Amino acid sequence: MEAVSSLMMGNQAIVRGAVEAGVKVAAGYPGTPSSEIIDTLSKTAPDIYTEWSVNEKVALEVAAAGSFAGLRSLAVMKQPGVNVAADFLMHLALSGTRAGMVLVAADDPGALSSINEGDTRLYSKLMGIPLLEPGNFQEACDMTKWAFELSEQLKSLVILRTVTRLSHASGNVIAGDIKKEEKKAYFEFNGNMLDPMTGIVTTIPVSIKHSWQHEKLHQAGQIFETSGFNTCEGPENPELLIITTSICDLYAKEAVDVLKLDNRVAVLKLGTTWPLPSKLVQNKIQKAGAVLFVEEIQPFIEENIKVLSAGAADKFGEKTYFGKLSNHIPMIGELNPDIIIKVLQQIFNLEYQSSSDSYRKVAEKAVENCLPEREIAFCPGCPHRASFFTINKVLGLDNQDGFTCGDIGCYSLGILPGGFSTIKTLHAMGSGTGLASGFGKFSQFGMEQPIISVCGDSTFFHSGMPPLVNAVHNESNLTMVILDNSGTAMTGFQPHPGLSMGTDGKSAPGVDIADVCRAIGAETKICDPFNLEKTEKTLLEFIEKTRGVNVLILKQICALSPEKKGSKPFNMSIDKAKCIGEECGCNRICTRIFSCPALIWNKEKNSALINDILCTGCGVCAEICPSDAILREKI
Amino acid sequence: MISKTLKHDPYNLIITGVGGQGSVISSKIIGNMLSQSGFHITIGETFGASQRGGSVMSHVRISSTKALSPQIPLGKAHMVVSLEPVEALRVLSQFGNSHVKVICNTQPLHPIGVISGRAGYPSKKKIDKSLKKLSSKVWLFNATGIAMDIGDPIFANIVMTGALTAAKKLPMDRNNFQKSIESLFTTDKIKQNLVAFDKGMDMINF
Amino acid sequence: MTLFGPEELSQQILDPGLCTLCGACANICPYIKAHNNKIVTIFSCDRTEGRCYAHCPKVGALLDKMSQFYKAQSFTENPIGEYIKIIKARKGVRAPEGDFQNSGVVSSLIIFAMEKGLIDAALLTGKDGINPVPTVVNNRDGVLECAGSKYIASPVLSMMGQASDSGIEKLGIVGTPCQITALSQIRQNPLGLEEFKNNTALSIGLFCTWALDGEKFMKYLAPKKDIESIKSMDIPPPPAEKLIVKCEDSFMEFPLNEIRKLKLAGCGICPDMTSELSDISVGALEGFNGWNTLIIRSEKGEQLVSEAMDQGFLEIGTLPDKCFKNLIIGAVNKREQAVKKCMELGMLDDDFKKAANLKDKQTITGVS
Repeated sequence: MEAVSSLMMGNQAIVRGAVEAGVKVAAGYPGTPSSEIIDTLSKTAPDIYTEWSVNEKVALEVAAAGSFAGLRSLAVMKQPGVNVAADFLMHLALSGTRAGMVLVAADDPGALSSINEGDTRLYSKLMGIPLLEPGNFQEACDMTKWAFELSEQLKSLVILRTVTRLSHASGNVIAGDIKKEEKKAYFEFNGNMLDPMTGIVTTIPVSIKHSWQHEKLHQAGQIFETSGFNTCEGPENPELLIITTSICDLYAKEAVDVLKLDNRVAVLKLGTTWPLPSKLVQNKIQKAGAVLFVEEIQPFIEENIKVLSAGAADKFGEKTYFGKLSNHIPMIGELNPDIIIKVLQQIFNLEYQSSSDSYRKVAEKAVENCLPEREIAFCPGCPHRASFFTINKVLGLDNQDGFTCGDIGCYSLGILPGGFSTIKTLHAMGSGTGLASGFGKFSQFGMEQPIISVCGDSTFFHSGMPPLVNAVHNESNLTMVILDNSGTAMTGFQPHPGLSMGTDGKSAPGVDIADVCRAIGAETKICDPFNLEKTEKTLLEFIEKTRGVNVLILKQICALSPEKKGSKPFNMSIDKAKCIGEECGCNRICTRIFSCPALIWNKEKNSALINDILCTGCGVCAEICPSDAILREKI
Repeated sequence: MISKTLKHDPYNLIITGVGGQGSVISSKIIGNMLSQSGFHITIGETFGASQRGGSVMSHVRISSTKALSPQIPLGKAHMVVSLEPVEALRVLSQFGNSHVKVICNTQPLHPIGVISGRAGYPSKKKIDKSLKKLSSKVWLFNATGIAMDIGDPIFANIVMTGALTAAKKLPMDRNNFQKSIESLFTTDKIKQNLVAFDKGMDMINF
Repeated sequence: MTLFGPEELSQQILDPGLCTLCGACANICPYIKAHNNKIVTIFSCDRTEGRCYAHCPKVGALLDKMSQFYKAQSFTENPIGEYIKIIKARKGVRAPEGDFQNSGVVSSLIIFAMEKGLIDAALLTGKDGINPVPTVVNNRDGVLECAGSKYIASPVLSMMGQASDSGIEKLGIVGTPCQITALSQIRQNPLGLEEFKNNTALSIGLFCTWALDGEKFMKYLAPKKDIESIKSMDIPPPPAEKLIVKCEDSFMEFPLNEIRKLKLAGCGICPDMTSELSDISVGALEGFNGWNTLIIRSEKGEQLVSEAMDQGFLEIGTLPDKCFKNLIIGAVNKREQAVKKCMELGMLDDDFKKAANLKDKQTITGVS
């Protein structure tokens, strides 16, 4: 019987692999492009303990506990989350694990859904953790499954690094059998102190554990030499050997196909990238004329293979290497087939045009000034638009050059025109309030600017509390605005500790944000951001106070949340007699500034217009119009 | 076993639109429809900005042999299905060629810059003309209008899926569609989706 | 005059600190607001012509041109402006008692105008502690609550739009010279807007040499006195040379030469001491406690005064020559100093009227 293949997203393939491996514990923190993994597990595998943890470090710890208790476990996060978890990660790498444990780290080359371009692979080298990189959908499944076995064999955590283009792309996967095994969780600690399976679990004595770690890496290197996840296609003695990994394998092969170079170029795809299968790599390089490294973000395999090659120089002499370090492959951004085509064209001196000159000319002319940019903006009915409108207004009224430190979530868009360019600093999760805590201490150096930080509800629990504690204890002066839209909206409404719903959708004790803030010692108030007047008044009072730490919780559910979607509290319309357009003097504040996708400026009619298809009826624009020309009718 | 053949192997289909229009879902449905016949499907897409008014593109690649790059090389699209007129032009300017075919919703969705009066939006006439110039065949109709008649503008993506099926450039049919949405929607929704699909087919088969 | 927009208003007046807070620019506009004794801008506006600029009494306020338009005759050299009659006055026996600065003439005239139906309501300056608060009133008690000098500049005209939105068709306004100048510009409808409605039925101007910068004054007072506890302030007529701050059961005095340092810089370029464009102007009368100087400038003003006398709301007398002479000297001084200051600042140069070095147009706050 032929195996049935089905179409799976890369992340679903990873889930399948984990389920086939009999994973019992899975924990993570939402972050594009990783979120679907825990989401899918929580919805489809009720016998697995799945948890959206408060942050990535805790997720890794929860998953590690599973491994220590004899349960195969999975931790999932996007790359910046690995940075959050890094402290525990380094200790875990040294202490070792028991039951198979895999960290799935999703990198985002090109920063498609991130504000940096971190490369998790360097952690593997830094911390001595075996690293796997699936190159296609089938591998995403099979490699994940194998990663658990490898982990168990080595008694070491294994990192599986995926990228956006794999995690969010879909392809055919032939699923395997699911390992069905009842497991009783039990943590053994009474054995010999140095017995990894029965003793205490820790990193000390460091000298011994560190030497073990190197042995494990060595062992991994041996295993990787013969791994089926490292493949080589093309002539035995190619003019050029492309060494690649991850999704770049598909780009490289496409480029070779397009340029019909399959007789001249071989592609060595590495699935096991730390430690490198050195013999395999050296053998292939030896037979090749030149080498081109194709990988995204850091020149990771490039640098490390060059080190290997230096060690084998006596065997195959000097070779020509192309890659990021030779400026052939860009250091920044995502790769694609066209970039590789261009590089191969350059190396082989080939002619290639993606489309005919005449078509390109016509296309250029046809689209000239015809492609208005699609800036991303807050959705119609988004509470953040109202919140930022008020923050901006209040800082303007106060007129003391006050500013807003931003944070990570949908509300990061507050840095763009659609968010009135309110945000002036934007870094890691929780950093907005940390920076604000610092800024708020500089009055002794003459700094009198009012300081606001914004922080989402999920971000508050993730890493917003420590800086708030810091600000209160160190008597900083700031107003923290918590934009509470009741969920981790950006990544798809995953629950967080503030909600009375757990990862499994069942009821769970919610931790009240206002109670936490008050307990920390901040003066705390709650407003509905759709009530512009009250929000403005409250925020003004806060920032006009010269001392102290204030928290303003702006609570309004996300317009896209399942519970709100489709409900429309108001019917909005334009009073044509009152909206007199350019004559008004309002200078179109409703459309030019407020920028709701559902509120359109009709140039021909010189009037505002409601797009009923998009309008969610939040009613806020009625308050923005200085001429009361936007009507709000309760439904 | 693959019992059907492709006009081009791989066949490169691009589904485009604006975040929130459902192009991601329709790419999945189409992928599933073709996967049923045993083809290797690779769908590449960018979300993240999907709900926030950004341009969204799904690259659907259909092959009888293997998984392909989730990004189609420039100039190599065979078919562009667009839920928004300007997005069709945007895609053609990168992935178009003189043989490409286009199925396009005529209902514009204005970007924030246009809404706020900072940027212009090309006229319908200009768009139609450019689409014709940049393709070998164009089907234009107001899928949003049809979807609204069914009860929700969100069905526009299914109308487009029906149209793509009726254009007969890919080996798929109504049964494939019905089968591929079975697991996705409730019985009620399946009915509405089938209506949308049929109306989309009618747009090509009139 | 050449009309510009908010950017030029900021460049020429707001940023250099020449605003005297009349509130005209903040009237109706969603971008310019009067807040805490300041005119502030929220969000950016890229209009190249706007009411904010056109109504500002500090830009393009070429008095003769305005006067030509408004009074259909040319501006004379008279430093107290055009007038029909100048007299001394005090409230009449039928006018209510109140906590007046001088003789209660302004309150009496407003109450009388209201009760006889010349105006529906009046836009006055009330107070919250010592903070001036623009207030619309429509009865005796409301007027009396607003009695007394405020000394701190107040954005009275920012309330005009709100007053007309609330359906007031005949509004009386009491204001300082800059406010009355701005009011005159508003009434000219300089942008020629179709929907413009003039609902000003009476303007009473006050004499003014300068007003305090609220922000600076509060900063000066804060370390010396709990501002919340202050009930009222008074600057007694010369030669007192002091400002008296009154609390519940105590008072404090501050030398006037120190207080003068806290005046609005914009007052230094104001050439008008007596609110030359009002219907009636009212000011102190040195040496005659309980009387005011009253300048009647329009027929409407003349008729109101005459009826108020008849009905016992006003009592008048001849203005002593010496007082008239002193008034002229004061007005000439203010005008000369203002012209000097304007020249120093280059405000009388032709170039000033052109928008110099404008930044790239902003579309949204903070982004060029």
